[in-house]
Amino acid sequence: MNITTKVTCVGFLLAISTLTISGANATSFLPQSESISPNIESRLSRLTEAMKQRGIEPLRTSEANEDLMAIGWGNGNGGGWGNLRGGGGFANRNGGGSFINRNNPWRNGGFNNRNWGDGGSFINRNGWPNGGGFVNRW
Amino acid sequence: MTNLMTDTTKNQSIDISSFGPISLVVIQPTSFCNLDCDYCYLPDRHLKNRLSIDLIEPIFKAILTSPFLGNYVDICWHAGEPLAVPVSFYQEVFKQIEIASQKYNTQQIPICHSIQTNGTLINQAWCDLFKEHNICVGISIDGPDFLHDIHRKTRTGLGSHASVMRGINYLQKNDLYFNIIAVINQDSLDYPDEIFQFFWDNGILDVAFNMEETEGINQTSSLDKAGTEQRYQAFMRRFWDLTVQTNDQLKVREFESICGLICDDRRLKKTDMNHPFMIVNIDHKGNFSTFDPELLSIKTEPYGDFILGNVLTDTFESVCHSEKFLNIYRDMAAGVNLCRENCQYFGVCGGGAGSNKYWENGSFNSAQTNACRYRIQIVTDIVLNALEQSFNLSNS
Repeated sequence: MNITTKVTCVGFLLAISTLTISGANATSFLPQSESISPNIESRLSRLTEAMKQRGIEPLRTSEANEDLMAIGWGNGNGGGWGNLRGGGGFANRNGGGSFINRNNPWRNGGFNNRNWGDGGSFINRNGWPNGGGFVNRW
Repeated sequence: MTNLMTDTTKNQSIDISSFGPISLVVIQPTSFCNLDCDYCYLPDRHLKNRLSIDLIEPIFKAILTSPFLGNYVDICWHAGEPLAVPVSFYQEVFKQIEIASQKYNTQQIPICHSIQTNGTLINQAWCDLFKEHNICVGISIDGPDFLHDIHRKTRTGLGSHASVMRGINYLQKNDLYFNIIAVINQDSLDYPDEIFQFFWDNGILDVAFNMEETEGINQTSSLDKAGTEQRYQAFMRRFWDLTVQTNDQLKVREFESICGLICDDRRLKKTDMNHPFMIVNIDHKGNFSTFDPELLSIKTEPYGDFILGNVLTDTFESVCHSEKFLNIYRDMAAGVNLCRENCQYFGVCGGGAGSNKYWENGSFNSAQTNACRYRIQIVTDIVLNALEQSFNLSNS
């Protein structure tokens, strides 16, 4: 697999979508879309499954079962939406490991150094210290 | 949801052990704002109230000795224009925080600072302060001048866009990272290309959209007009297409959040705005609340004001058994349960914000709002449709 450096989840997923389904995963279960408007949960799961079919495992950590909280409001001092208990954001991406090094999202330095794709492995998703949550901070 | 399920209907004692962890503390350095944006929800933005330096120690004592404290704390200076006080104010504030930290931050929890500003007052002195204290800067700008200046005006009615751009140029000259929030309102919806191009041309690559919401003293939203939803869908769909074409250079919070959940195969169960004491809001008098920061300075019919206590007299945990808190909490929890039981988007939302529910539906104990439609549901549909096409799942 050859995915160049990606900094956003959008870019990351689109890059994965271009990968060929690996032989080992070609027969793995991919739920069929329901004939009449599949619900959101099944559509989300199908996309994650499609990712796995291409040999990309989702981030799984010991925290996988904790109550995930959308951190919607906070600028999060560098968290924005992209983090959980590590600086704001509501996409909950704490922890690290897996093939995308998303360790310690923004704690390692000032806010210009809040990368969380800190080298290693093959995809770097650098910091996305966005501002603001979804409630009016204008 | 851990403790939001607690039965508080009988005002019985509740288990507060799952409250928090405090992730964000919004502190109001001043209620004043030098702008007078017509969609602002803050009622006292014309008043030059200022936080007393003497309140810094009690504020940080309350934070750092709270059982709700987690393993870090973000301080966001906001709720008025935070740069409407002088640089010297923050220099003194940071000195006092350091003193308070030495006394109360026994676990050496990292304390980080951010400022959400309209950007008009940024100059070299502010940039020096941001650098010195690693302050994260969020700027509010609604796109190009012809859109921004419709709503974001000075108190004399002049557009503020040029001043904001001057501030952004200072940040860029100083190599200071910043992100922006752009408010989407009725006027924006026909101009996705122009807004995108403005961001791109000006090196603004980290973008979050807020919807104009019915909130506080902004009693109606321009997005409530009939036919807006279709135009909003078209706007966001176009912005997705434009974002994708940047080859990973532009980040849009709304798209990132849903994609992040897919990447991680995770779902949300609550939000910082409906879970007690993840957010603490402190006004210039030391009054505090939790849940949405927007609630702090507002009085409402069924709930009264949302001030739960004051750092001079109360701890965060001490107010959790008050009738006021329990009334709010009970309805907030019931509203989240309604969302969980009735909305298929719950896993990508976490139950929304009480402020939207109150101002749109009249109670925290309610579910869908227009804010849900715009912020979560429409965006989710757009992103899923696009990804399904990319993964060739559309017709499987």
